[in-house]
Amino acid sequence: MKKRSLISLVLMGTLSLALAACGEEETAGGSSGDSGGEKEKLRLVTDGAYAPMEYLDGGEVTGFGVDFAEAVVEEAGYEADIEVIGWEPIFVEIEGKTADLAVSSITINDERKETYDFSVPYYLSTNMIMVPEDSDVESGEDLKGKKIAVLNGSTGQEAAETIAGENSTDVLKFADNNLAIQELLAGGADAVIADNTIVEYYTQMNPEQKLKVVPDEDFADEFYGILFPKGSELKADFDEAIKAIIDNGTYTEIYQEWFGTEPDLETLKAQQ
Amino acid sequence: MDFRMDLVIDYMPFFLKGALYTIGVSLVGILLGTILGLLIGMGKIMRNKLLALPFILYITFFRGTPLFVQILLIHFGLIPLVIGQTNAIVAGIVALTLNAAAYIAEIFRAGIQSIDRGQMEAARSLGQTHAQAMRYVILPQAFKRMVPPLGNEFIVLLKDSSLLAVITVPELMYWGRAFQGQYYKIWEPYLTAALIYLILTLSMSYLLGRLEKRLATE
Amino acid sequence: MIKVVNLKKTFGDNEVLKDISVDIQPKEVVVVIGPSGSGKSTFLRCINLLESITDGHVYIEGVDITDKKTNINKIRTDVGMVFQQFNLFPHRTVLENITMSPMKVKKESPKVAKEKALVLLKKVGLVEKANAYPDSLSGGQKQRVAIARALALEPRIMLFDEPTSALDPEMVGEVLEVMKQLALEGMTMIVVTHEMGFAREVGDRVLFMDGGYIVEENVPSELFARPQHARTKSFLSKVL
Repeated sequence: MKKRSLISLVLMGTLSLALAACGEEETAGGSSGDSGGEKEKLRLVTDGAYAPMEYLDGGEVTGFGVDFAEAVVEEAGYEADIEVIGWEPIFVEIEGKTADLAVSSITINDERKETYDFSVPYYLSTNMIMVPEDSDVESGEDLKGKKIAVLNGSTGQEAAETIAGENSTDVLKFADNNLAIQELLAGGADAVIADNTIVEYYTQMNPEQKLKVVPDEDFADEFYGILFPKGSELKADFDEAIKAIIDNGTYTEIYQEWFGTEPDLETLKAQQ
Repeated sequence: MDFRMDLVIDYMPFFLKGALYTIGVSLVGILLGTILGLLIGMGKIMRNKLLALPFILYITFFRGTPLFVQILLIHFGLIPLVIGQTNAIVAGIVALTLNAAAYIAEIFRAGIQSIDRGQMEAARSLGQTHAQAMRYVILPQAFKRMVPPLGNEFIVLLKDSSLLAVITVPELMYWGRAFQGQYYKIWEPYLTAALIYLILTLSMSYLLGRLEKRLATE
Repeated sequence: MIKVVNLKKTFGDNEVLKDISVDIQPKEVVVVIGPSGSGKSTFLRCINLLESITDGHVYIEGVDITDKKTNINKIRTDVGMVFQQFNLFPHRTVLENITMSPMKVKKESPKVAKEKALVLLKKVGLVEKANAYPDSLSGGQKQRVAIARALALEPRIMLFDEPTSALDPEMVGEVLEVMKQLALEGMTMIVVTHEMGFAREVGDRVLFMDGGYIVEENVPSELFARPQHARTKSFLSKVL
C-alpha cells in the first residue's frame, strides 16, 4: 500500500509537472462539450482504503462513495472510470489536472479550498474516538497524554492535534485508517480518531475486537465534497447532479443500502 | 513551481529530530544485526546440515521477502505476541536488526569462505582446534574483508529505515510524510528528506572510505 | 615411528590411494616422488589427518590416529607440516606466526615462546625479520619461517609437501639447506618433492608412487641407478 502510493506519488509528481500545461487546455476545451451526443469520459480517482466508503473488495473498488459517484456521474451526463490511486496521490493528480475529479470521503475545508474546488457537500460526517470497550475515555479531553492513531493529513489528525498539540509524538500518523486501527488493536495506541463512518462500521463489523465508539461534541460536523481542480467547469454540472439525486431519492436509497439508516438530509441541505 | 521554503524552515526541527532517529535506529540495527548475523552465519556454515537448516531458512526468509512486509509482520504481529502490546520503536529496531542479520550472515559466510583453505589447514596442522583456528586465524582475516560490505549494508539500512514511517517510528521519512499530510505539499517535505538522506549516506561513504584505506595500509 | 597399514582414500568415486603400507623408522628421511596425481600429497596429508582416512590404519608411535578416541590435535603437535604455499598467517608478524600455536595450544608463556621462536629464527637465518609481516618476505624466506613455525611445537616428525615447488629457482637452495640441516640433526622426515638432488643426497629411502600405489621403494642410490619397474624408469627418464 505504502510502497505503491509512494511510487505513484513520485510518478505523478513528475507527470503533473510535465502535463500541467497541456492538461489545462484539454480540460478547458473538453468540459464545455454539452452537445449531448457522445458522453465525455472522466478520470475519477479515489483512495480505496476507507471502508465502508471506498474500499477494495477482492480487487473491485466498492463502497458508499463508489455507488454515490456512479449515480452522480450518470446524473450529470458523463462517463467515468473509477481508479484507485491511494490518498496522497489524489491531491497531486487533481492539482496537476491529470485526474478530473476525486470522490474519496474528502472533507471540505478552507485550507483545501485554496488549492482545489469542491462540489456542494454530499455527506455529513463527524470525527469520533474509537477505544477498547474497557477504556475509561469519555471524551477527547481524556486522551491527553495518550497515544492517538490517525490517518496522516486527515481531519481526525487535526482533532487529535487539537488535544495533544501540533506535531506531538503522541499523535501517530498512518498512511491509511486500517493501519491506525491495527495499531490500536496491537496495543501501540490508546485510541483512534477517525470519521464516524469508519469507526462505527469497524466496531459493528468486528464485535470480537471489543471496541467502542466515543463521540466528542467539540469535534465539528464535517462535510464531504467531490474534489475538482481549481476552476474546473465540471463543478456546476456535479452540484446540480448531487442536488438532483438527493431530491429524487437515489441518494437515500444508496445511503440506506450501506448504512441501514436514514441520512440527515436537512443538515446536509442546509450546508448546500 | 512555488516552493515554500518558509514551511521547510518551520519544519526543520522535526526533520532534524527525525534524522537523529534515523541514525539511531540504523546504528542500533547494524550493531545488533552484526552480532546476530555472526551467529547465524556461523550456524549456516556448520557441517551438520540438519543443524544448519534453521539458519539457512532464516536467511532465506529475511532476504527473500520485502523489508516492508517484515516491518508490518513484526510491528503488528510479533511484538504484540511477545510483549503484549506493540511499540513502534522497538518493532522498528527489531525489524532492522533481523533483516540486517540475514544479510550480514551472508557477508560473514562469504568473508570466511574467501579465506584460503590453506590457512585453516596450517592452523590445524599446528595442533589448533577448529575453534582456535577460527578465532585466531580465520576470523581476524575475514573481518577485515567484511568491513566494506558491512559498510554498504549500513548505508542500505539507513535508507531502508525510511520504511519504518509506515509504523510511525518518528524518523526522517515519518516527519516528511507528516509534513506532506499537514500542508498537502510534495516537493518541500520529500526533497528535504531526500537531501538529508543524501547527506547521511555521503558522510557514511566518506567515513567508510577512510576506514578502508586505514585497514588496507595496516 | 610411523606405520601405515593398507591405507585407502577416496574422493567421491575417485580412489586416490589404493593400498598403501609403509613403515618409517625414527630419524629416517623418506622422500616420496612420482608424477602429479599419483597420490603423494594425499598420502602425506593422511598422516596428520588433514584428509580423513577412508580405510586402513596409520599408527604414530604406536597410537592409531584413525581411532575416533585419539586426540588428533595432540598428535598434530608431534607431526609438523610444511606446505607448498607456505600458508603463513598474513595478519600476524613472523614472530607471532611462530609463537601463536605454542602459546595457544601448548600454553607456553609469551616469554618462553618468544625466546624459542628467536632461536628457531636464528636457525633458519631470519632473526632480523622477526617483526616483519609475511607479505614483505620473499618466497624462500616465507618457507623458512613456515619451517620454523612447525618446529616451534617441537615435533618428532616433519612432513614436507612439495616445499620448494612454489619457489623461484634461486630460492630453492636456501630452503633445501634448512631441511638438510634438520635431517642431519636426526629429525624423522617425510618429504614429497621433485628435487631429485635432495632425494639422492639427503634421503635414506625413496618411495616412488604412481596411480595410488607405492610402485617401488629403495635406497636412493639403487632406485635412481637401477629402477626395477617400467613406470619408475619412464618417470625418472623424464625428470633426471
